[in-house]
Amino acid sequence: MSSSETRVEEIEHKEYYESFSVPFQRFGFWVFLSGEIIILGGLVAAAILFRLSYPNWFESSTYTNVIISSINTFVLLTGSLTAVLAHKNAVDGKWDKVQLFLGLTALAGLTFISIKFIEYSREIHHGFVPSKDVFWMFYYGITGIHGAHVLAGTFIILGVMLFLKKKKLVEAVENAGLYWHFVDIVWLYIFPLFYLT
Amino acid sequence: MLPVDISSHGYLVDRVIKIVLIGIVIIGIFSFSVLIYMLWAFRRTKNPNPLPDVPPLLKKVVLIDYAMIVFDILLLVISSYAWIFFFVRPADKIKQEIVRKGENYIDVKAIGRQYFWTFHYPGKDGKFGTSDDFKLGNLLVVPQNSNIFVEVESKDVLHSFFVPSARMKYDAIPGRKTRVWFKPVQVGEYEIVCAELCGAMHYNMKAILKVLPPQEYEDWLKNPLKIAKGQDLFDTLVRR
Amino acid sequence: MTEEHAHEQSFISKYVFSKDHKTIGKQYLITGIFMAIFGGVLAGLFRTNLASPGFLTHEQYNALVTYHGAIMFFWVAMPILLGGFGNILIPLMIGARDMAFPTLNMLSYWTFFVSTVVLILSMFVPGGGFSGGWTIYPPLSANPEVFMGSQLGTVLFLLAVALEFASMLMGGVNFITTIFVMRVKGLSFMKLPIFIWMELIASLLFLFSVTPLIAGAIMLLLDILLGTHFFRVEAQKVGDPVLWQHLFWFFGHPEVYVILFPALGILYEVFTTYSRRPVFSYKTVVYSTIVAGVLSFIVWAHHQFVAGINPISAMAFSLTTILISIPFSMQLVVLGLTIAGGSIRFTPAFIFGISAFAMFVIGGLTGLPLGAVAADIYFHDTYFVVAHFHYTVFTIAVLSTISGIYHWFPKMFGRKINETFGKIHAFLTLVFYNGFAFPAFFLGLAGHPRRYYTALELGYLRKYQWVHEFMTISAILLIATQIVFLFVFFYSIFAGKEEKEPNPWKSTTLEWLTPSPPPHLNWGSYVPVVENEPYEYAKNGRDFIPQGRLVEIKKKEV
Repeated sequence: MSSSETRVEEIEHKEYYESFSVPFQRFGFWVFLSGEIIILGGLVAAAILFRLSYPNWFESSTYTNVIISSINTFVLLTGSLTAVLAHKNAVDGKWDKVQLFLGLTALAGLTFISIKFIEYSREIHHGFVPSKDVFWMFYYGITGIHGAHVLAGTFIILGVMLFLKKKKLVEAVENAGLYWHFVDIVWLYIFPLFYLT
Repeated sequence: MLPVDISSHGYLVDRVIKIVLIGIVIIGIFSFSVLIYMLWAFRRTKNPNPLPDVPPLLKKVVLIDYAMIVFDILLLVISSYAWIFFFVRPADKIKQEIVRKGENYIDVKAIGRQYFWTFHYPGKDGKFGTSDDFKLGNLLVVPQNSNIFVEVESKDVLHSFFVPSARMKYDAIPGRKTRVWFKPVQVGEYEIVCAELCGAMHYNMKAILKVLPPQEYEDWLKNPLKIAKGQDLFDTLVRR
Repeated sequence: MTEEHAHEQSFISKYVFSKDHKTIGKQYLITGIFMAIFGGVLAGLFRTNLASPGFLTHEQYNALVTYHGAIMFFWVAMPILLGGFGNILIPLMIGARDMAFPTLNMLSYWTFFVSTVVLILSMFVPGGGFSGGWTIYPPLSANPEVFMGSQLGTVLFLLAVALEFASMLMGGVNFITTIFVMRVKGLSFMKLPIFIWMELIASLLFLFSVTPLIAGAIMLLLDILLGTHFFRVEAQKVGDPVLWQHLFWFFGHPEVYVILFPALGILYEVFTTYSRRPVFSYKTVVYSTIVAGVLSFIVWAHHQFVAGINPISAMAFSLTTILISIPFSMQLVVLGLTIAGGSIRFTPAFIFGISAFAMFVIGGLTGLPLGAVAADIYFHDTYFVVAHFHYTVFTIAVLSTISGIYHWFPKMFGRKINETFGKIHAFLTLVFYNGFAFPAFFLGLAGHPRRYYTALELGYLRKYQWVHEFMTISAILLIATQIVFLFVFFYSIFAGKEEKEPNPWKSTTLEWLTPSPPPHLNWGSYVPVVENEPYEYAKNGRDFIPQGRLVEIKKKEV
C-alpha cells in the first residue's frame, strides 16, 4: 500500500467523516479489554464469595509459595516497564530500540510462564491438585487463566514484533503494551488473594 | 384447563393466573384490534397518500402504556401477596405458627434421584434418624387437612418436585435441602412429576400423592409397608 | 483504515477469506440459514417422537432438544441478526467504506465457521453429543458418570459454544468501534437509523453479559475434565449447581435482547419504508431501548424463582421483570403507530414484519404470567414457557430475519425474490407457526412439564396427546415451507428477476444510495453527505427525502 493512498484516505476521513477524538485502534482495544475485565472480574468475584463461605480457605492457602510468586510479580512488572519503554521509543521513532524492548517483554512473559510451570509441578507433586478443595480449585482456575493470558500476551508481543518489520505502527506497540499492563494489573489482584493470606 | 386444585393455598396461585391471563388477553385483543384496523384503514388502495400526521384518535393508543403500568402494579401486588404467603414465610415460621395453634402437621423428606422419588417418613415418633423411620418409593401418603412439610433434596442431579394439583413446585438441588409446605384438603390420588431435566427417564419420574382421610392415615401409619392389594409401591422402578 | 484500493483479488481472497464486510455478512447469513433449516429439522425429529413415542431413543430425544435450542440461539439468531445484517448494513448505513477492523471481521467469520463444524462434529462422536438441555445445567452436565452422551461430545459442544462466543465478541468489538468512529459527516448519534442504534446496544449488551458465562464455562470444563467441584456435589465436597444458573442467566437474559434489538431494528426499517411514514417517536425508541438494555441485567433470576434463590430476592426479580415490560410496551406502541396514517404496501417484507410484530406482542404479554412470581410456581418448566419463548424468539429469529431478507435482497444481490411466492410463504409460515406454537400455551396451563420424551406416561396429560399430534404436523409443515424458501432464496440469487434500480423500495437510509450490489469499498469515488433525519417520509407533501446524497470526493494533491 503506497503512502500516497494512505494520505488520500486520511484526508478523506478528516474531511468527510465525523471526527472522533480517540484513534479507532485504541477505542476498539478498550472495548475488547472491557469484556476481558468482566471475565476475570467475574472469576475473582466468585473466588471472593467462596472464600467468605469456606473457613478452610486460609489453611489451604498457606501452602502457596510467597517467594516464587513474588519473583513472578517482579518479572511481570519488569515486563510492563520494558513495554512502556518500547512505546516511548516507538513514539520517538527509534524502531530498533522498540524491537529490543518488545523482545525483553516477551522474555519476561516466557520467564513468568516457566516459573509458574515449576511452581505448579511442585504443588501437584505435594498432592495439591485442583480437585482437592475449594481453594485449590480457584487457585488453579484463576492463575491458570491468567497464565494463559500471559502466554497470549507473549504471542501478541512476538506478533507485533513481526508486524513491525512490515509497517511501523505506533498503535500496535501501544496496544500490545496496554494488554500487558492489563495482565499485570490482574496479577496484582490475584497475588494477594491467593498468596498473601 | 388447570388440573383440580386440592391445596389450601392453591386458590391464591389460581387467582394470580386468572387475573394475569384475563389482563393480557384484554390487552392483546385491544392491540390486535388497533393493528388490524390500521392495516385495513391505511392500505395503499384505500389511502394512497400518507397522512402528514398520525390521526389524533390513534395517538391516544399511547394511553395503553399507562394501562400497562397500572396492570403491572396490580399484578405485582397480588402475586407478591400469594408468594409471601407460602414461600417467603419460611417453612419453619409456618411450622411455629401451626405448633402454636395446635394444628396437625407431618414431616416428610422427598429425595429425588435418577429416576425415582424416595419419601422418608419419621415414623410414629415423629423424629428422623430413629428406628421407626421408613421409606416409600414413588408414593407419598398424607392425611387430609394436615400441614405437610416436605424437605426436598436430590442425591445426584437437579430434579424438581412438582405437584400440579397442589400448585407446588420446588427444585431438588444436590447439597441443599429446601422445606416447602402445603395442605391438601381433598382426598384422592394425584400425580407428582419431575420438572427439571435430569436425564433419559426424566419424563417418567413420577410419584403418587395419596391423600387419605385422617383416620385411614392413622391406620395406615400402624403398618405402612403393608402393600394394599394390587398396589405396587415401587411401580416405576419395577416397570423399568 | 481501509485496506488496499481496487487491486486484483483472487477467488480465495474475494469470496472465501474476504475482508469485505458485505461478503462476510453474506457468509454469516447463508451459514445461519443453513443452520436454521438444520435446527428446524432436529425439532421436526423430536416432535415426531412426541406425536409417536418410540421413534427415537431417550438419549437421542434429549440430545435433539438440546441441540435445537443451542443451534437456534447461537448458530441462527446471532449470526444472522448480528453477523449477517450487522456486517452488511452497518458500514453502508453510516456511510463508511468498510468496518473498522476488516481482518478481524474475516477472522470472526472463520472462527464462527469452525465453531459450526465443531458443533456438528460433537453430535456424531461415539457416545453422542451433549443431551442436558441448551442451558447445560450441572450437575447433569458436570458429572461424567451421569452423562447421557459422551464426555467428548460434551466437551466439543462447550468448545463450539466458546468459539461462537469468541467470534461474536470479535464482531462486537468491530461493530461498536465502527459505529462510534466511522460515521459520515452530519450523521450524529440522534440521526442514526434505528437499526444502527439497535446493533450498537445489542453489541454492548453481549460484550458485558457473555463474559461471566465464559468464566462459568471454564469452571464447568474444569469440573468435567479435572474433577473440580465448582458445580458438582460429591460427599463432603459441595459445589453449587445454582451458581451455574446465576452465571448462565446473567448472560441469558441480556442475550435474548441481543437478538431482539436488531430484529426490532429491522422492523423499524421495514415499517417505515412500506407505510411511507416516519417512526412515531424516534427519541422514545432510543431511550426506551437503552433503559430496557440496562434493566435486562437485573432480571435474570426470574428463571430461578423455584430453583434455590432466596424468596425475598425472588420478589425483587419479579419486580424488575414486570417493570421491564414498561419500556417494551412503550417501544411496541411506537413501532405499531409508525404505520398509522401511512399508505401501506403489502410486500412480503412488510407481511413478515407485521407478523413478527403481532406474534411478538403475544410473546411479550405472555411473559407477564411467568414474571409474576406466584404464577411462575405453576408455569416454571412447563410448556407455557416453551410457548412464551417461541412467540418471542421465533418471531425475532425467523420472521424478522425473513422480512429483512426480502427487504434487502435487491440491495445485496441485485435481484428480487418473487413477490407472489413471498406472500404465500408469509401466509403459510404464519398459519403453521401458530398451529404448532399456540397450543403449547394450553399444554402449559394443563401443567405439562418441558423436555418430556412423551406425555403418555402421566395420567393427567395422556388426554392431550392429540394436541401433540396437531403441533407436530404443523411444525413439520412449517419446516417444509422454509425448506422451499431455501431453494427459492438460492435460485433468486442467481436467476431471480434483476433489479438495477438502487432504491426500489424508495427508502431513505444511506445504503440505498449505492448500486445494487454495492462494489468493494462501497462508495467508489463518492461519499455520502448527510443532511436530513433518517425517516423523512410524508414530509411537506413529498413522498420521501433521502437521508443523504452522494458527493464526489475532491482529490487533494499530496
